[in-house]
This record gives sequence, structure tokens and C-alpha cells, in this order.
Amino acid sequence: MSQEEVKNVKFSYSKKEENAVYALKGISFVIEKGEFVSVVGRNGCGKSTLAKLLNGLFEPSSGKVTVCGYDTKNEDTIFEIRKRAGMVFQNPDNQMVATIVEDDIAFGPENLGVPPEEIEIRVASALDTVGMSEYRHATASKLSGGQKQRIAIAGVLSMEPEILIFDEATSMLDPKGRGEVMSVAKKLNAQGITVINITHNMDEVVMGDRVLALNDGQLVFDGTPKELFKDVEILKRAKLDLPPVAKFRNMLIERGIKVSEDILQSNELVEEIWQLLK
Amino acid sequence: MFRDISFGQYYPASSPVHRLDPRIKLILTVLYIVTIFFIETYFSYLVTFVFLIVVILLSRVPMLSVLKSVKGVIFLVLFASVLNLFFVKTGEVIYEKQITSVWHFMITWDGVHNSIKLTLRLILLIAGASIITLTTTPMRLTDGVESLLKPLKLVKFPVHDVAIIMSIALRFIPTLLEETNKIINAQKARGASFDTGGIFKRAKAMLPILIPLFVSAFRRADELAFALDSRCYNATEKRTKMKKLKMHFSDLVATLITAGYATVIFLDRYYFMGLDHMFFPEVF
Amino acid sequence: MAVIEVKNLSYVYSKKTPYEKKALDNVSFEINEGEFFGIVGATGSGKSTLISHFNVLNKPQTGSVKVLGMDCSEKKNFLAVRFGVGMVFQYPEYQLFEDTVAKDVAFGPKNMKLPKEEIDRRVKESLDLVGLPYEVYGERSPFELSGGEKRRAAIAGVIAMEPKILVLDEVAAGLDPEGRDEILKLIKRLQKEKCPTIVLISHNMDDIAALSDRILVMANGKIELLDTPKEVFKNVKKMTDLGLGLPTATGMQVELASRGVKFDDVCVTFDELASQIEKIKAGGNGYVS
Repeated sequence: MSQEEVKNVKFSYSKKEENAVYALKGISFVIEKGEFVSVVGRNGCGKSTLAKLLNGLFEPSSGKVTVCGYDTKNEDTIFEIRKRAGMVFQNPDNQMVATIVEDDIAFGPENLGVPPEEIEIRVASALDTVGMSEYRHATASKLSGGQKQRIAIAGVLSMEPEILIFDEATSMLDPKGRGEVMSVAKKLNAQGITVINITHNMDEVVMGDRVLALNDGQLVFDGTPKELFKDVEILKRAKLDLPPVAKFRNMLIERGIKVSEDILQSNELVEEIWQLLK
Repeated sequence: MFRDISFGQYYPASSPVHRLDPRIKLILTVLYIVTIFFIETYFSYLVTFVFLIVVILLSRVPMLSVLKSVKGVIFLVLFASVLNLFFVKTGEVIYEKQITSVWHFMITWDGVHNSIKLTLRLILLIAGASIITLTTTPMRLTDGVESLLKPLKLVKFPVHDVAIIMSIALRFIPTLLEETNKIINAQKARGASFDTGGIFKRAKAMLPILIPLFVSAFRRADELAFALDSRCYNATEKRTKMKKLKMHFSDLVATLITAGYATVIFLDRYYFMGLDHMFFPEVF
Repeated sequence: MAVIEVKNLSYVYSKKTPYEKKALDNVSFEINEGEFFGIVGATGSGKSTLISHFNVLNKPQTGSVKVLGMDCSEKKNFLAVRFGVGMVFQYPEYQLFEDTVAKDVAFGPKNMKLPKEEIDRRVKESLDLVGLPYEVYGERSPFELSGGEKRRAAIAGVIAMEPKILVLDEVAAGLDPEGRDEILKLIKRLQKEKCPTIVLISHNMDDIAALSDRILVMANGKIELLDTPKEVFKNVKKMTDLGLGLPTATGMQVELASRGVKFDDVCVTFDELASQIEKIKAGGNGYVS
């Protein structure tokens, strides 16, 4: 079943037609339930704008975005969309409303009018999912970056979403924090939640099943990470980097050591080198 | 520079004071503050002091945290007291000197008592008021305010929005303090100095801190607005609360104790006309 | 010659309060002139406290810090030390405040009370160096620039002070791959042309391994290791246990070694690893089962 349907979407920050500069210049794609989709592209390519269109924070200037069957332009059902498509933002400090962890996680369901006993259960289960149960009564500002982002994820989970959108949610974290957040994302995806991860980190892209590359407001690639990292032309055009393992793979090939051209995982490459040396 | 500011920061602990209903705590704090302004005698100060110590001990907040709140404003307190010392001209004179033709320098016993009492009053006031923020999470505090302001909903006052604004403001205090520190350090590293020159020069020297701070605060506000929207803020009129405020027996006890304390102070002032004469006759 | 000498330095935050925290615990080392000095450590290991001593944003509590021969405990040296050490903090773009890029870059040199012509020369030179030519960017508002450009403008503001030592804290954090590449290239260029001694803090072991002459590894306010990249990353278990990890190349080498491949030496870059693999493959004798 399609959960996110983006059809011929254009977006301009200016409402007036004559001085419209389009951040998105006509984009279409469909995301199915349970997918793990990465969205990549250089700064200013329109990917953060796209993220905000995916749960109705922005309305398309033209075209149509449908989330779980609801049109984002319809004011009456906007909260049906937002509770189903939760969003985790870049700066962990700018998305917490409450000082204490559990109060922050309860914020979403409270807004939705969920009964208090039910909220208690949801908060406990969300904390458990992100592995932060022992921090339930902690002061949020004293946590590490990775912990704060996991609390932000829990704050979304308590609304029981079907889609999780990460808007560069790991870019301000250290490798440990990044690892913590991505493993939670993986776990949730395995439980059937659709994950859309907007990122600069090519290692995260490798974790997903599908990747969308944007350049200058246009969708220039839609396929698997393996295909993307073979496509030198697109990588150059969208100013994308190769994951470290792919860089090494290319270096080996250049030096005449024959390894497969589409390897992205470190353990696969180790295996092939091992076979060659054996 | 700001690292040590702890006023308004919640001290997590489990104590009878922590568990009190925030509405009761707000009302009792107001009662306490009002009472303090009626204190006339050293006896009453002693009673207040004992009352405060008992509350602090019950709250399991380390004395140091309370003292820290006081430390933050100690200069203001001392300044006010010293002014008092110099400007009160009634009572028995201790020391006087004509400094210029218009300035007659004089210290009197009344002035000494006044400034001691002012110091005590301000310190007890701040220490007492800090207990509520130390023992109540900002969320519960705002819940309490929201609940107490509820009658204003009748005149279309946006009570809930005000409560959220308050909660967010409290939540962002540590974040913005940390940010201020970072900016100060960054500009210091570029050779900026903030403590030399006249008042205009100093005000101008603050710009390299204030401008980035405002830019950052606006950026944060922007992002926070998106976060509030995507977490369904204002989704329904029928907003619920995970933790409903509920009065317990302990709230009644706390009210009675505080009311008892206030009664002693008022009696001291209006009925016994100052118990100091009875307890410390040799001084007065 | 040592340009920074740290001796028995300890630092405690919020002394004698319930929040007391020992951020540095008896730390001693030297940084030499012309050295590319890497610092790694988990968040909260004391790195930030340490580098804030390099230009007396923190004064030594116990122990001593000498920068360019000047004692950081003596007040008369504070300004000279600050002008001698350029600090690029995390997200330095948040310190921009003037209405034009040129004015912002001039802020440091102005505080140094340099003559106007000298300030102008330095502003132009540093903007050109970071790839924001004065003619194009000088009169623009710093707030209109892109993320990567803002960061480079902020760096220009530091190098315009022509410090002898440049300290960079997570300088590529949050940038896109293109921005990262540009910044890393800029650092290499700065070391060659402007400021030979560089202290780099990073969580990226690939960058640190490739750039540093020596690496200081910190944990819980103490020095765990201080050596060349090769020697540091030989401590596979320690680096993993500290949560810092290894360069990607070293990680793969460890995997290969565990299967029985014998290497001459630790590899910290892909280049080294590729050469070793080439050699083993050609010689055919690298394999031990």
C-alpha cells in the first residue's frame, strides 16, 4: 500500500507567482509501506523542503502530496497526517518542549486527546523501544546528543505513527550518537514502520533499500544504493560522495585488484579480498 | 560565567515537598512572600528562618542549591542594604560627618536595623521562592499555573497557550545560557573584551554577543514551531494530560502548616505588637 | 620546539558543589611547532575543556599551560595568547554578527589594534584563502550565505588574526559531502601557507588518521594514548572500548588479519591498505591459514 504519494510537486517559498523561485521543480514518487528510503543531495537541493512537504508542514505550490490517503492540502485532516507521519529534526535541542523526558514524550498524545492512562502506557513503551526507559524522569537538556534524538524519536512514537521522517536527524551527532539513532531507525523499520531518512551520510544510505537523489529541485535518481554508487555521472552531478568502503573498492579496482564493482558493505569487501589472497 | 546559575532549575528528588500539588505550592509560595512583607521583628525572622529550614530539609534539596539561588542576587541585596544604611536618618546616631555642604553622612541604629532586616527579608524571600522551582518540574509548574488561570478562559484568555509559552521559556533557559557562553568564548577568542571602556563602549561591545544570540534564538524558534506543528499542537480542543493534578491529604497538611506559620507572623505584628521586646529585652 | 606545553593540568567544574565534575586529571604533553596534532575522545572526555585552556578561556586551576612560551596563568599574557592561538569552535558560523562579511572578518584584527591598511590586507587575503573572494563576498551579509560559505567566512575571521597556532573543533560537522571536502582541503592549504601548527579535534577517525602527525586520545579527563596514528590505532581493543572506533581501513585490516592474512604494518589509510594488499597478492606469501 502506498503511504507517501508525491505527484508533480513544485514548491516555492514565495506565494506570488511572478517572483516564485522553485525549491522543488516538479517531483513525483511513491513510497510504499515498510520501505527504508534515504533522500540525499547537496545543501540547498530541496531535500529539507521535501521533508516538510511529506507531513504537511508545507503545502505544495502545485501538484499533490498524499499521505496515507489524505491530501496535505486539506486543512481538516492535517492532524490525521501529522500523527501518522512523525518527524525528527536536525537539532535535538530545538524540538523538545518540556524539561523532563516523560513530559516531552507525552506532548504529542496529549495534543491528540489520548486518555491519560493510555498516554502512560505509550510513554513507557516508546521509551522502551528507544532504550531510554531509565531516563524517564531525567532532565532532557542534560542528556547527550544521541540520547536527546532518541527521546525525540520516542516523542514521535507515542503518537503511534506509520511513517518516521528523519530530517538530517544525525548530522549534529558524534559517531556513537549516530549509531544509536540509526539502530533505532532500523529496528522500527523491521517492525513495519516506514522510514524516510534525509541525510548527508553515505553510510546511512547503504543501510536503506532505496535512495532518492535530488539536485537543484529535481529528482535525479530513484533506485537502490548499489545502483546509485555505481552511477558516477549522477554522483558527480548531485555532488554526492561515495561511502568509504566504495572509495576503497574503486581504489583497489584502479590498482588492478579485481573486486566486484557494486560492493558497499565492509564485510563483503573483506570477504572478496580474502578470496583473492587465499 | 553563567555555568553556575541554578535558579529555576529543577532538582530531581523524591520528597513530600516535591509531591505536593503545584497549585498548592504556587498559592503557598505567594502566601509566604506576602507574609514576609509583614515581618517587623527579629522574632518573626527567626520563625521564618526555622520554617524555611524545615521546608528545605523536608524537600531533600541540598542546602547548597538553595544558597546558590541566593548567591545569584547577593550583590543586589547588599547594594539595597547599604543604601538603606546611608539614607535612613532617624533613630539614635552612631556616626556622622559633614562631607560636603549638601551631603551629611550619617549612620543611625534605625538604619542598621533597617538594612539588616532588608537583607534578611530579601534572602528569605529568594530562598523561599527558589524552593518551588527546585521541587517542581516546569511542566507541573505550568500545569499549576494553567489550572489556576482557568477562570480566565471565560473571557477568552488563551490560558493553554500561555502555559505552553511558559513551559518552553523555562525549558530553553539552560539551552540559551549555554549558547551565550559559547558565543562569549568565541568572541573572546577573537580578542573581544567586554569589561573595559565607558558605558557606551561596553554596550557596543555586547553587540557581538547579542546579535548572534538573537539570530540563534529566532532560528530555534522557527525550528521549534515546525516541531510543535508536527507533534500535533492544537490538534483538538479536548487536550488531555498524562498527569492529572490531584490534591492529596499532604496538600492539606502543607496548607495548614504554612497558614500556621503566617498566623504567627501576623499575630506577632498586630496582636503582640512585636515579640522582640519579650524575647530580647536587653537589646531593645 | 614546543609551542604549547601542558604540565600536570587538572580542571574541576563547579568545585565543592553536588555537580562537581573533574574534566581534566593531571594532563601533561607538548605540541611542537609545525605539527598537525589530532585530538580524539568521546563526548565529555575533556577535549573541549583542554582546548579552551589553549587561549585562556579557562585559566589553569592546577598545573600550568604555556603557549608560545607565555604562561597562561599570568594576566598580562592573556591577550597575546589569544592573538597567538586561533580558535575555530564547533559551528563557528554562529559567531557571525556584522552586517557584511568583510566587517566580520575584520573584527579580530580590529581588536588587535592593527593599522587600517593592514586590516584591509588581511581581510582580503583571508577571504581569498577560504575561497570567498573579497570582490564577490566582501560586501554581502554573512547571514545570506550558504551553510558551507558561512563556516568558511567564520574561519576567515580567525585566520585574519594570523595566529601561530590554529585550533579546529569538529570543523566539518553538519556539512554536506561537498562542504566537508572543501573544508578539509582548506585545512591542508592553511597548514602549508598560513599556519603550520594545527590542532584538530574530530570524531572522524579516517580524517584524523590521514591528517595528523600525532594523535592524543582522551578519556575521562586523562590521556589514554599519545602517539603517531599507526601506533595509536595499533590499540584496536582500546580504541573500540573507548567508543572511538578505528579508521575504516584499519577496521578492514583487522578483519582480514583475523582470517589469517599477515601484514607488515598497521594501515590507517586506504592507500596504505591497498599497497599492502597489492604486495601480499604479488608475493603470494601473505597468507597464513
